[in-house]
Amino acid sequence: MCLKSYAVKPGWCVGMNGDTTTNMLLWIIALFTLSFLMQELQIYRIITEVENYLGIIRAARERALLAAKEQVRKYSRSLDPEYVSRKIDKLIEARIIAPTSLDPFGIVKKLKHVLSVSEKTLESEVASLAPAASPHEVQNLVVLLDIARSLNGVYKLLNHYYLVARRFKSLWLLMQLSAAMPFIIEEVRAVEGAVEAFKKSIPIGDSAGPLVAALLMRKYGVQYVVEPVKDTIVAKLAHSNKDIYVIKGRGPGGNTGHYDDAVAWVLQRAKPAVIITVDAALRYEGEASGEVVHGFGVAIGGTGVEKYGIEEIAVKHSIPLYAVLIKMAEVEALSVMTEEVYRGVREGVAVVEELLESLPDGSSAVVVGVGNTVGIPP
Amino acid sequence: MSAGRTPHPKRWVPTYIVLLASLLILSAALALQYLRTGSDSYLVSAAFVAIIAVYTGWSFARLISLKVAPKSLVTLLKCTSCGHEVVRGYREGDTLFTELDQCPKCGSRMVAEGIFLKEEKR
Repeated sequence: MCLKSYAVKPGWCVGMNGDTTTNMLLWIIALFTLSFLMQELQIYRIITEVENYLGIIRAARERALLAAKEQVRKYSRSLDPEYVSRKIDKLIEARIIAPTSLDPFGIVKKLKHVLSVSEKTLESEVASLAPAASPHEVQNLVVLLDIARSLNGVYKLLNHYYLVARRFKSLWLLMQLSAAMPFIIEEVRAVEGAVEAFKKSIPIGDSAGPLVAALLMRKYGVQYVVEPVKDTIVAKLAHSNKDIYVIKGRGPGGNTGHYDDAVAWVLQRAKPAVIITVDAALRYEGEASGEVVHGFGVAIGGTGVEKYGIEEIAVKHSIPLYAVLIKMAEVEALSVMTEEVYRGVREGVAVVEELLESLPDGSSAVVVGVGNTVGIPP
Repeated sequence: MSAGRTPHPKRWVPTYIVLLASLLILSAALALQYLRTGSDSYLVSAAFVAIIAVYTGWSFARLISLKVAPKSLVTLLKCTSCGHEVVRGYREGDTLFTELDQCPKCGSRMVAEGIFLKEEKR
């Protein structure tokens, strides 16, 4: 079929030549193989990347677990260290099963019940492992175990996805894991940062709300302090012409208290003109840490159980809900309090005072310092 | 965060310097060998090592330009009578709202008003 008259043979004609045909075939095979090989190489590269990230998370989990075990052993007196270690290994595997939402009516009460049972059980288990620990030390140990438990949960979940992705050699699953890993690592580092704070019992960024409450109590003095609800104190400030009730977790152990029940207790004794919640709020990238902003509504994170409780009370009694938010990054919220956040706390006290000043004489108000009260005494 | 200090990423600087210097010396030696022998394999090796050296140098430059101020844990003390404030390094056992030191101005008691991480001035 080749045209003999051509001085230079056209490409398709060259292809018919013996050597060149082999070359072309080799090229096609090489390209075909490379397209597969490149994907395999990419999978291998992402697997290595995800494995490295998993290694970091596993190391964080091990460090948190070791810290928790060491702290518990410090207070475990004559208990067998092996027994304590095995018991802690079991405790960090415990799970909280959320109530069914098939019928959502009353789900908040059910969730509150489940959380309350898990909290009490974990606390009594830790107290039995650390008989020499004081109640606030037990609370710090519980938080340390919670940190180890959450890191363990994160590691196991990610490891599961990684193994599934690897088993099926799914590039897309691996890519999703790889894309999410930097953000997860950031959170893991934040959670890990809390270990040091709870070991030393010093305030973390999330303690901004309780610290505002404690500074108010110190500034004005208190008429009385009661603990009507477990781990939650209500202090009536010695304010000259207003009835100000300040609510916070008891402290200095690491707990958050039960604000909704404490607010309900106050409502049985007074009709507050306003409920002010002071809490740490996550800032966006580019915003300054420690900035204080106003808000409307109940500033309480977590499961939403207490937020629901206070909203119910406020709506029932038509009480305005104000919030004072102290901005910080997630890492700052869970690690030892930074200077910027501390300055925000001082500003937060001034903002709450302004809000209280704007109320008419003779009125009453509730200020709730929301957050973990580690290192902040009543 | 042991002893109240966060580990600084610039602790890797000496490692980078040693690695970069080794790569540059190796690359120069290979280039010299190429000039002596004229063998292409030396040239290819020199180029390969030089590429790794450039990558290491680029990572090193990024590390150098990284500005992470070291933070240390401090206790803020406030005098109960004159209100004078003092910031000193955190000591084991420091607790909020407890009397810790004496005021350097009036000699009254000073109470821990805050414990936080402070950026160290350089």
